[in-house]
Amino acid sequence: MDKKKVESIVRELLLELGEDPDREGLLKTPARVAASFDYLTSGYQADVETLINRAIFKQEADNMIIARDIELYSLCEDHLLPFYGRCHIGYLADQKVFGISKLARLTDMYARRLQIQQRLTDQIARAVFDSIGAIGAGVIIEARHLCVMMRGVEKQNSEVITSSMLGSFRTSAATRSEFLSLIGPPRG
Amino acid sequence: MAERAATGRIPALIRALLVELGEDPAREGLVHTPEAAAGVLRPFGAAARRVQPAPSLSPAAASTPVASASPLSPSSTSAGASAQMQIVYDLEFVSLCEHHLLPFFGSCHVGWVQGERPLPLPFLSQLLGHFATRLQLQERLTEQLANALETAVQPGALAIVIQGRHMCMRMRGVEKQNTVIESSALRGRFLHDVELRRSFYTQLRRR
Repeated sequence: MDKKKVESIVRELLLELGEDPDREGLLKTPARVAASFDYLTSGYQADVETLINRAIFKQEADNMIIARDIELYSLCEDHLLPFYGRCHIGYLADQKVFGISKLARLTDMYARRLQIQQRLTDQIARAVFDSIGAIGAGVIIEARHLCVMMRGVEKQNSEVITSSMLGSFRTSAATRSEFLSLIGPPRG
Repeated sequence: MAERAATGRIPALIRALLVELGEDPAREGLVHTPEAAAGVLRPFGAAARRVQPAPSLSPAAASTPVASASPLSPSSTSAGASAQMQIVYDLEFVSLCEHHLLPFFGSCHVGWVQGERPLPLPFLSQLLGHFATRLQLQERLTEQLANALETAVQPGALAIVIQGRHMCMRMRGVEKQNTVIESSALRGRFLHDVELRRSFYTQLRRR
């Protein structure tokens, strides 16, 4: 990303909105917005392999492992507005487990892109499932979308829930329901 | 086409931004993004405000003498009620932080003692929306709302508390995800009547 170019785009944008980009409060806005977009889309520069960085460990584990309530902030690609909420990841290990911070890092990596919630959910599930050859993996995301909230005060509390189930999480109702009961009811 | 004309060059600028972010603005999910993002941003700009008048107190409310006014709460229609404090909790708002162009949102609580004119709830809610829908700072939003209410209804006492959740400090920057910023503005009797002020804050906290 060419920061100078983004700054000039944002400055033009302010002018188009009828604002004075030289007033005190807006003077540094183009630079701040450029830095902000750079960070919020930094997930494009990362890839799963580098991110996991061999933090996969041999472990005699065949039980369900769950990371619950991972805070999630992303940008919706339809309006470039934030959506935010919680991500829950579960997997059934097959002799291999993730270093514990990696699930949160995977979530951040995919969230820091222009996203739609369902694709984000699928990408995280796929990455978890594939990188360790899990028996099954499931991801649930509960999120609020600013694009919905900004359109009317009656919709401040509506939450979108998406899920992606792979392997035994898809084929076994018992596994899926164990996962769902362990992450608990939506906390919206 | 009318929408496109109204948003002027904004969609083109958003498209240029997408390219800078390394995106392909022609891919399916992004085809409508420039227009949609422009539609979200436009109402927050000063240009949109110039063609849309500020909300005003209805002529009926503006000319209603206090004695026969029909205020918000039924309990305050009794005699002497004008000295009673009324509170509206949790008026929701969404605004746009002028430093990062990221949303902040939350609740606005308003306590007042009726003065010259009644304070109709729809008017309060419209004013909040009016001041929230711009490139804003929470502190300024609080002050602007207080000043406008003071001018329009001349309350005996007025307290405004706004609790805001800022995306600019949650999703980036300090990344404090549970921090709530509280700002307040006091007018009239709330400034020197300690008991009244305490009663307002106690009710607000106990809720």
